[in-house]
Amino acid sequence: MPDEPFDRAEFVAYFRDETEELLHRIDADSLRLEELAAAGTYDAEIVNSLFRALHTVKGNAAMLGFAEVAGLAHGLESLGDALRTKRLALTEPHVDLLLRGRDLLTGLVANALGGGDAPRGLAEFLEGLDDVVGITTAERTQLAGDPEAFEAEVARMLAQPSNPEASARSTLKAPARHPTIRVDIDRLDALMNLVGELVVNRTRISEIAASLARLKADDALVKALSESAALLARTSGEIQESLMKARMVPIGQVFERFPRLVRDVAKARHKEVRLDIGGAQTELDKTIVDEIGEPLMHLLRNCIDHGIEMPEEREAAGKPRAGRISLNAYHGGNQIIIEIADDGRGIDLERVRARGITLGLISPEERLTEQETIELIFTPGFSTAEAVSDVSGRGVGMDVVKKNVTRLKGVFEVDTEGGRGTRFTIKLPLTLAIIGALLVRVSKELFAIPLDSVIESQRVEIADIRTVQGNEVVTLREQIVPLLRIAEFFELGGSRDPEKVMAVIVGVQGRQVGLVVDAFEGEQEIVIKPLSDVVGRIPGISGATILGSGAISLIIDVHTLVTDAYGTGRVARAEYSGV
Amino acid sequence: MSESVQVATFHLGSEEYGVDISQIQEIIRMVEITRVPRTPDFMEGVINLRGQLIPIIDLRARFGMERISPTKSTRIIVTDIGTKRVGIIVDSASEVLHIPIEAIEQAPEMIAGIATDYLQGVGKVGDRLIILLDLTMVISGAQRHELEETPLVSS
Repeated sequence: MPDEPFDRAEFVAYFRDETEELLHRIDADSLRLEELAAAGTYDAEIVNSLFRALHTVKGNAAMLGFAEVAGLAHGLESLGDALRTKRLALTEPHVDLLLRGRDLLTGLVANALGGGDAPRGLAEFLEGLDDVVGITTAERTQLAGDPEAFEAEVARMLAQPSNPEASARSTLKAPARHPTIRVDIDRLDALMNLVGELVVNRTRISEIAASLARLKADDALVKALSESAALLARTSGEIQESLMKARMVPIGQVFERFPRLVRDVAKARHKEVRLDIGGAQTELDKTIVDEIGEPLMHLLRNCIDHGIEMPEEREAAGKPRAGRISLNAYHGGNQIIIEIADDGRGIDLERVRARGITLGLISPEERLTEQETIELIFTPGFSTAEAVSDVSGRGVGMDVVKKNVTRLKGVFEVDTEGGRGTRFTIKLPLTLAIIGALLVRVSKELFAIPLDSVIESQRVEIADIRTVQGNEVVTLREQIVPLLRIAEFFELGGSRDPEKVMAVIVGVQGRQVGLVVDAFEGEQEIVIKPLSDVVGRIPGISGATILGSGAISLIIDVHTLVTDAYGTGRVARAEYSGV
Repeated sequence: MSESVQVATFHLGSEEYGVDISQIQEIIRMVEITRVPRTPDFMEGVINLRGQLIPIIDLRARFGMERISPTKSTRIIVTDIGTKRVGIIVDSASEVLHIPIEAIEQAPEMIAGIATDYLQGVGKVGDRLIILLDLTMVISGAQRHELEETPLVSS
């Protein structure tokens, strides 16, 4: 067996992936053990799972000649073994040792794979570990160079890819693996692009078939074409849907690193925090999953830093010592909803207001609704924290979180209740690639407005338009709605109709704007394509799409237009000036 | 035989230009171009090339020359520059030429009002002078320009 050539690069890639999973497992197991240690109980299943994970890391690392990784894993495995055989008691200091070792292990693995510097403090840690477990450095070094152990591991590794189930049983006893393969996301993206073109062409063929049918309804060939076109439409629709599903991954991939994060931040803050995770199986587009981790992480930190009180403070307020943060994901219609809620002190609106005045964002006389006050925390540079925390750090504020969510076409909401807690709700589209859109004509151009922000479209008589501080507004159901003329915003020229305007009423986070267009052209499912970076980023345009006719339509970035309509001085809070 | 470069030549005003053939994807007739608002003057818009969105630059406008209406001979040269695909509008496309390396001279300071940044040299073929363009600069310069010119917020 050892004589057989093996592809080292492939094994390194395999090692990278498997070790990442195992490190997560070690994390999860260690955290569970910490709880058990605190409660003074013990669970053999978890200690065994931890032991096996460390053992596998050790074996894989030794096989690839990563001596330091194997050495450390061996040391930790010995600790695990001591806990397993109850030679050592399950106590918090021991679990702490495990977690610290796990961090060093992460650093060493990254270093061995060519990323990052070797972590510091390894020697001291190993010494400390030796004192606890009672193994010697000599023993560790020997393992890395032990040819017999090496051979055994090679045999195990070679057996693994061809028989994943058996090896999963023998090494991990993990939850049954789904029969899956890893695919480079770029390949799926390329496929998605091709399918997009296929869909565009199928629409074109359907249109041609329909036109021919109008001319020669009885022709056998035309009939055959129509039938074929219908079949093509169905099949390509199914391909598109399957492909979208192939891009979906459970959001749990992002969630799994949070228990550890919450534990560490809480510990550093001397707070007690329990994190409950729900809906980890909820699936959404891979691209969104990759991007949403960072904002969620900041929100969690925020909850611990600002939301959850110190244990004594909580007790005094009649709450349990440990704060609770719940992180939940679920599907709602065509969206995925992620909620982070804490049972802390809530956002102090008075302090936010005071800070807003200090920063010159609002004047002392200005009256704001609760929601508007909360909006202030999304201003860059806004922070009411008395001390800059070393964990949350400075610079990344709520403004960045919101910006990231907006970039994913998501909506971000905050509800807070003094003394009871705060809830952040993020609503994201299931996919970024295909959306329903309302097509409109402005001047000679076609624009697509994403349907999720369209409230209604209607004709507005010029006589009903009033002017507030130089801006056109209409009153719809007793609400003042500013109008924004697309032709003027995009400098497209064209003339104004003296009698009426066609307006698409769009809403983003409770703010409504009437987008003035020349004509409504119906609804369509569109495939979003980014504009080339040669064109650059254009405020108000989020991309383009190719319609069934082959024509190009630019996609309107409603968020930017609404922000612009309510921007500095444009409408000047028409609602509050009493018009 | 000495080394040579293979270029596709085209006309812009009274001058003849050449672009390395390896940068050219295809040459197409003028098609309908969808305008993209709030872009610099030379950014004509985007076209649909078999399902792909291709940005189009008017080379006349890019070089600050007088614009003309498209004629029968107007062409769009679709180029591949790095990972970017960009179309450039030219007055007419002519032919593919081999130009020996020794027939290429360094470009003077300015030629036909175009800064040397955009030029790779001038090729002599018989009594013709062919201005060799560095499209990478034409395109990346366009991006820089765009960043400076487009206001970030409206009004």
